[in-house]
Amino acid sequence: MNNRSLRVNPLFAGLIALAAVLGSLSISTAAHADGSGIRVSHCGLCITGGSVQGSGSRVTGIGVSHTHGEPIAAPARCDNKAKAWGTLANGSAFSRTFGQQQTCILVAYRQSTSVNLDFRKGTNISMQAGHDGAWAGGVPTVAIQ
Amino acid sequence: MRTERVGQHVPQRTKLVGIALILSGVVVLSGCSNANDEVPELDVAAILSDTSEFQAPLLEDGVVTPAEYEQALLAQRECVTKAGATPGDLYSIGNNETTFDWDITASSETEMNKIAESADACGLDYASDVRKVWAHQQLLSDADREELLPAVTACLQDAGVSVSESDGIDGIAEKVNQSILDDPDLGVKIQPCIEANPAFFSVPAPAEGEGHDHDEDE
Repeated sequence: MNNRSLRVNPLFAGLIALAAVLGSLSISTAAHADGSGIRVSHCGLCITGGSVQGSGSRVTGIGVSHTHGEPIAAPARCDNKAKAWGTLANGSAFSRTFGQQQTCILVAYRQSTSVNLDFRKGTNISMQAGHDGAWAGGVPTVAIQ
Repeated sequence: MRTERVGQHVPQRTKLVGIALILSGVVVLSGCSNANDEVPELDVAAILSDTSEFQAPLLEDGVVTPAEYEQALLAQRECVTKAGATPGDLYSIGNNETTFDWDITASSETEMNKIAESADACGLDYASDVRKVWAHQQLLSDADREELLPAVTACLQDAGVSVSESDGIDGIAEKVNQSILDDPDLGVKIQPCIEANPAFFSVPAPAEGEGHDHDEDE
């Protein structure tokens, strides 16, 4: 995969870009609790990206990103928020809601958090972003394998 | 645009938040607030007319002090606890803004969603309007933003984004967003510029009706 091929398809390039912004070089839902996922959100170039860091079934970090491309780069997004959820190794349902950022911003929003929990193998960690009083469509997932 | 975090429950954060609140309090009380004539006025009266019982007295004089801001956040945090979630410590996310995470562990996804719904509602009941006014009070004036422009532009140029000071904040923001969508390498390099300058990229809330539709889709 190279930059030339990315520019041929801006949307695809964007998806990969978000995965990269989240700190992962892969866009696939990788094994061993370490990978990233991307989903087109509530407009053509509104993208939510999610990444999970970890080893084995132990998840150590989760990141969520949301950005808008043209034609609605403006106006600003306010009350930015993110959350992630999944199934712990003991079968309990778990979610973390990241702290909201009330400030209205014009650029990509990104949140990351440390976790340090074991998740059940064969399940997914799902991530979602939102702003302006609503959760945005598009839920990237990463499989725990 | 928060800085990278190292843990969920780090007590030092509370101290940092306290220092940030004190410093911002000095700014507000000394009359040197960033919220000057160059920043569009926020219609606090309209917010006050539709706010919760808890937030009304905090907004009554049209200004949110650091103490009132912290009071609202702590009340929201307590509400989240009562809803059955486990909140973390308060921490700073730059631009004098403070926030906190919360975890939910439940026997089923249904139960988790029920707790989440209650915890989400705490924001509206205890802090959302106070946070809105507080965020507005932190906005930079045009002059303040102009001062940051060379450093932000230089940072973005070093990261490989073709921006110039003449682009202005809207032009720069548009190029930043497009660059993130276009080129993964640039995206990685741009993020530190955003995180180092949260105030530069913070703007007033769009006027009623000027925002875009945002369909909720859980």
